[in-house]
Amino acid sequence: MNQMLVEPSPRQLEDAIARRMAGAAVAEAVGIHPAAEELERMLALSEQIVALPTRAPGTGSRSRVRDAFLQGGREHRAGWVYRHNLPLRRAKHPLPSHGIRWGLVVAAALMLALVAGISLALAAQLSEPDSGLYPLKLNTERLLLAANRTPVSQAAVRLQLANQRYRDTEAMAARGKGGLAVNSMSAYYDQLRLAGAALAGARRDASWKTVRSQFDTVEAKPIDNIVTQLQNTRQTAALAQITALRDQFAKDRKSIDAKLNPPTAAPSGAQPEPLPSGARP
Amino acid sequence: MAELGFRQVALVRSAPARDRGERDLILRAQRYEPEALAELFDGHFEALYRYVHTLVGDATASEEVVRLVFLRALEGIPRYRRFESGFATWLERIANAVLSESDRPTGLPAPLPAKELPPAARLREAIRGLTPDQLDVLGLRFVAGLPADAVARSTGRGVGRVQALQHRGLLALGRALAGEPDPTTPVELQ
Repeated sequence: MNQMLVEPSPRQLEDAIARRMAGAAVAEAVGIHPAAEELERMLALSEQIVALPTRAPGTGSRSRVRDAFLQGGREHRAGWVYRHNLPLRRAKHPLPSHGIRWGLVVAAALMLALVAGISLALAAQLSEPDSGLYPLKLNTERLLLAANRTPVSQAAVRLQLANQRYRDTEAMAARGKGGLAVNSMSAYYDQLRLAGAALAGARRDASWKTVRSQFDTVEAKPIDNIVTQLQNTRQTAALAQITALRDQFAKDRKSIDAKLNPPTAAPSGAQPEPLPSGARP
Repeated sequence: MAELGFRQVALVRSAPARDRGERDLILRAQRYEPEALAELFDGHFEALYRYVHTLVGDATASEEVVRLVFLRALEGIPRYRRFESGFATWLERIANAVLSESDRPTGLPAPLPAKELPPAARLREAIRGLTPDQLDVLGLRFVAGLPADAVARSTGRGVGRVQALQHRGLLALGRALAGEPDPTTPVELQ
């Protein structure tokens, strides 16, 4: 091969082949080109490949190859059927029955609902009277009361609730929500009255004494701060109502204290016998 | 230069695989249904034989190559996905792969075709001495008569890559026929 020939690029060769295939003469397909000579040689070579003689297969050839092919097909078919039609086997870890699966679903749903309820209740505990969750908080408190059956424990819970109502009153007064402050103050005094009644009917033991002392602490809470807040926020009507509630409780407190305070014991020592005349010595 | 002219896809080719009938046939053949396999064989045997015989030139050798191609097709047909390229082209590519295989150790240049052989036999021997990629492209391009973009689609190569392989293949073929060793093929180290 002449090494001085200029080689055409693959694109030039492809263009020449395309033109030749479209029916152009060789000279026209090659064109005027520095690599025309080499291009012509390559084109001729490609045409020699195209012109290679071939012939149809003999009948014997067809049947021999056909038999081998179909025999191979039958063998593959057996494997294919085996792979795609395996008998069903019992699983090593079978799925639970329909009923058990539904039970699991229901249990999971109940668990989810329980978790959601507990979360909601916990969130409600932090709520205040102006919150949407506050009614839920009050219901939770009723449940807490129902769970405590003895008078002393009920009184202890009511004192905690009274404390809570007192804090609610402070918060509402600070926010200038007089109506809600009055409601909370009223609830505070109601809880104190109920706690006093529960303690009054309870047996006097050590736990009673503990709760009794707590009662004194809770009922002695000053309302000066609340009054100041209401004044600052110009809640005069609420201020008047709260003052009235305080005065009302002050009256009730005497009767409560009377029930809670043990009767004063008689002085120890021998009492002088009354004189026959009835006069005391 | 002899004015040989190009034949316009002279081989008997079946309808392209985009034909729904052939697609369904192939899908059935993928389950090795005997009737589908027989129909596929009958539809493609002659065209494949002619393709192989063009490159081999001997009836017995052609039959053996065609037999190997069909047996390999049985192995590969479950993975066949190139419906748009045509089943015939797929078979021809398998034939190219079979023809490229030889006992020649990797890295050694192909033996040059003997000068005493007739021109067609020399050309066939030179073609079989090409690299597998070059043989694949030249076979599909000039024996099967596919345009370059169809060769690119059916082989998964870019058109530029097909043109480059065609270019290098023809150059290598010209050198082999001229009795010159291919300078791009590495020589065995002693």
